Amino acid sequence: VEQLPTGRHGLDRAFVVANQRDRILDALAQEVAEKGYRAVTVSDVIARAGVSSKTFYEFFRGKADCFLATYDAAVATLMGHVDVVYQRMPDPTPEQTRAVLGTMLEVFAAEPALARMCLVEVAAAGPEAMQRYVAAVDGFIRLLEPLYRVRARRLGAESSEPDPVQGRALVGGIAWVIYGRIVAGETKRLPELLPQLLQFLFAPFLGDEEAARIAFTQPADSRARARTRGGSASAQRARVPSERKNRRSRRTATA
Amino acid sequence: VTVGGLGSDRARLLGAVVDEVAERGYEAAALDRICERAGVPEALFKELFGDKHTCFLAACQALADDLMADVASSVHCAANWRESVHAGVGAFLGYLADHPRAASACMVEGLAAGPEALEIRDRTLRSFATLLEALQEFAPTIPDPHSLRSELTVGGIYETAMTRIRNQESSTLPDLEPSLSHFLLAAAVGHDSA
Repeated sequence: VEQLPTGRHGLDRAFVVANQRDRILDALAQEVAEKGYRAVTVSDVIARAGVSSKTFYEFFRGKADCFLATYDAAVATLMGHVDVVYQRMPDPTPEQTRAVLGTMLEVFAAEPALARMCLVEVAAAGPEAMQRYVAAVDGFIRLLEPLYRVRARRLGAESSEPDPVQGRALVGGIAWVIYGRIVAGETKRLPELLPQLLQFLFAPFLGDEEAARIAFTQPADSRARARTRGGSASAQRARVPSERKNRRSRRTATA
Repeated sequence: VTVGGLGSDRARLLGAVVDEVAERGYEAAALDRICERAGVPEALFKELFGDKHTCFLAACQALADDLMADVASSVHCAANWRESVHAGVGAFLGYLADHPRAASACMVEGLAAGPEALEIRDRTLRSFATLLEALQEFAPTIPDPHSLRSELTVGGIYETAMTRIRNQESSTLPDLEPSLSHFLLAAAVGHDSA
């Protein structure tokens, strides 16, 4: 985020304030990604953001408070991208699931600092931050609900009641693999894992063969999109903290 | 291992740091209270561990080693592949249910202790994935195996167990055995044969 010129720039006060806050969130995300949460100090953050200590404490009580705000902004950014998918593909189908997971992997790949904060550094930031992580996982478990209806239809079963233990194991397994790639410094390659992750996710619902077939078959419209935008994740590049883009939908409000 | 048990001064201190962190969280855990719980003079603590961080990491590593040994021995005693999965998952959950304070200290509160604590956790989960891969050689069929399968399975079981520990429901962990064994079997040999 560019620092605003000081002095009489004629910019609206509300804009300056929002810009300062965003700059602090952005600085914290970058500092945490580089040094790890525990090693980062408020001085590091204000130096990077180019704001005064007084300004920092007008917005935040301290490092922990600032981390929570940055975390919320990161989740909001991620969910903003997910919501775009839902608007484009409102029907609960395996293709929708592919698009959602694929978008998340692309956002992480394009924004390694965001990915690191959401999945790795959150553990170091204490119990309150972990609650945010748990809430996000719970949100993703709820996103699996349509797949239980797909399974009930396939098996001719009466009940499409979600299995909470299985849902958590599926989402937890995927989160763990993503975490491992971020820690190994392979965040940019996350989108390559999409077919394998989908196969794992779909198998309980669609059966092994169908899951493998759908997971490894690229849909026609995404091949077309990949051609037009050069297959690049940068087309939907995310900025780390931007609460102004806070577009949580009904579906994701709890995440 | 004697996490939480009696024995040498070192073992008592490992038990005490776990109790203190489980109760107060990592940041608030205090050296003098750890020593008081263990009935060990602070000078001896300093001699054995130096500081709280080192002592806590040693306790987490002891928990991880003990848990791993328990799971590995249950698995090796099983008669066949399917039984070994039930035995291993059961041993994992049973161990954590039997050591709720160590589990809470090392797996929940202790994550805030810095990168070394996370590394112990990560290494332990990687060992479980390796164990699972070794076991899979005895699995009846392996449909379309891929490299992420053990990682996905181990991560899923971990997250599910963690949720119970976080919610202070460690005593209910063994109830998860049938679901999580099925989850593992299905990922390993396919949903149709599981």
